[in-house]
Amino acid sequence: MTWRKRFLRIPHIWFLALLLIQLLPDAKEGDYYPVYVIGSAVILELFYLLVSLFSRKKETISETGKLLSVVEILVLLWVLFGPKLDRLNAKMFPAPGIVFHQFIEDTQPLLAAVWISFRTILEGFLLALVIAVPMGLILGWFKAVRSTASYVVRFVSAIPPIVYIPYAIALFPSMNAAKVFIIFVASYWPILSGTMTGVVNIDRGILDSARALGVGHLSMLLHVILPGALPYIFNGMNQGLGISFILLTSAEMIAADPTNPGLGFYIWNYSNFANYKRVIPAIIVLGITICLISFVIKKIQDLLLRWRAPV
Amino acid sequence: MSKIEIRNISMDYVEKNTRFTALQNVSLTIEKGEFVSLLGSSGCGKSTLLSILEGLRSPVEGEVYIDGERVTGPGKNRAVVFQNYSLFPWMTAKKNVVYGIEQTARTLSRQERQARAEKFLQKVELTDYQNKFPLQLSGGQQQRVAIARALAMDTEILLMDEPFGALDPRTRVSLQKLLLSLWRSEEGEKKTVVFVTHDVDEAIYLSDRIIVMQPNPGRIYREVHVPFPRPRDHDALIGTKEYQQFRSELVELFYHSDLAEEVVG
Ligand SMILES: Nc1ncnc2c1ncn2[C@@H]1O[C@H](COP(=O)(O)OP(=O)(O)O)[C@@H](O)[C@H]1O
Ligand SMILES: [Mg+2]
Repeated sequence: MTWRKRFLRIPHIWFLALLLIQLLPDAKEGDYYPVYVIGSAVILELFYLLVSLFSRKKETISETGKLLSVVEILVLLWVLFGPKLDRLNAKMFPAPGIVFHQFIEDTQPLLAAVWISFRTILEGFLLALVIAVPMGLILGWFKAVRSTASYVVRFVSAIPPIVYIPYAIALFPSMNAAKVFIIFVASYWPILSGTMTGVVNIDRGILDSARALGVGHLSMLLHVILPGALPYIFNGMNQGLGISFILLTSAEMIAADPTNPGLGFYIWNYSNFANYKRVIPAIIVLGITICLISFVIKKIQDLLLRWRAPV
Repeated sequence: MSKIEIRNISMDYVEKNTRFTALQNVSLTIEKGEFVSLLGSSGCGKSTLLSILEGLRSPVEGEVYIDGERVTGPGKNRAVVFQNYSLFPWMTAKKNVVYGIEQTARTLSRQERQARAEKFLQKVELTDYQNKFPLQLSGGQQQRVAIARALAMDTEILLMDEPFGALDPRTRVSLQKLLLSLWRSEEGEKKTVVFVTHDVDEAIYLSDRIIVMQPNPGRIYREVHVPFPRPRDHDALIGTKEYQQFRSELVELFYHSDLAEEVVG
């Protein structure tokens, strides 16, 4: 790649704009912590420069650039309509510098909240995975139970899982167990139904080929049906995960549990005190966490399903 | 005792409450080490007959005996190559072969199975592709893997259902040559092969005997011995007068087998 292709790119303009906009006078007097905006911009710019310098693929540079552009333009607008023009409700949307400052102040409790939420999701989700996949394989495989099971699955999946929240809270001794259970139920049905669909959709020809080889029952399940159903299992997992995020956040809000404050509680709690400079970082962290988890799952999926892509 | 004995089998398919006779009173014996082709246009029950030999379906009437024993399901004495779908897409070429070997040769150690798989992939000239997944291989390469697996399983019988049906003519001929040379060069006793095709040249070049089938209901029309001695040189053989003569007679039969359908149907 030429020097121009690496470094002559649009996101650098947004960076400069972020620095220059600080030169405008503020609409109202006050400390808006502009240093934090400049600092964040510099960090992003340094990151982008490193990517531009070391990346081997043009796409990586341009993709990173697009992502950073979005962030920088948002912050730019935020600064402009916030402190500079005073067009935003300062209580609901505190200046970005104030929020970034608060972000750094609150890093510890935020990370603690992320960890609590993450652990809850992980426990409920893994539990669902470990139980739903083998059950789905068996229910999908044996014709005798398949149709009955699929009626049950269709009925239960139609129930919005949010109704389980009050039940779970009433049923379980600890709030934490209730939340794990809610995640479990929410992911269990999509994974089960995905697995069953996957089994049913395996090509007859491939099953015949396995039968003709004289494959035994266990090997049939492990080496033929499981990998054959895997694309659909991942569909179910992604669905389950999506619902889990929504439900956990709701559950943490509905079943406020200060002893085990996850991100949902964190957001709920500070919203009640109208402390939006602490709410906004939490929302951002929630978004980033979900993106990261989805990204990791996507990578695992690409790895395990790499046989599907003709090279 | 014949290697394979098909005794008067009939086969029905029931679909939407209508019964369809796919095979009617088919009887056939195949000797050990024989290469037999089932030739016929599509729909005359070739695949159905082969799936009964595989043990994947049971006939509504009649039975099949292999070495005098009645066939009731798939068995370790038979290996199968289909037109498509023989390979598991989630296993690499080598893993596919190893997996096949595991099914028949459970006493081999892990290393022995690996070595055997590599040996057979080398025979079909795919050593460089052994770590590719089927979808990353061409159709011809996929069928070579399937053949490698079937041979590596070291069964006495090889059942092939239009294995080269989806390939372009050049690849097709080169795989026919490969199959014949591998079949002939095997150590020990030669495998008994039942090979389904609707390609007249393919049937002649490969077979000792050709069973011409006819549709509606599927049954055997004629049976022809291929007079050309082995080893056969493909390119030289198809140039000879005798070949052309034999071929036109067979085409005639093939044509009549289909014509008979129109009279009946
Ligand atoms: N699973 C099935 N259900 C219903 N009919 C079938 C089935 N398989 C094959 N047939 C019918 O049986 C006849 C013979 O099919 P097949 O054995 O595949 O013939 P061939 O392999 O010679 O083309 C065809 O008319 C086909 O439509
Ligand atoms: Mg067929």
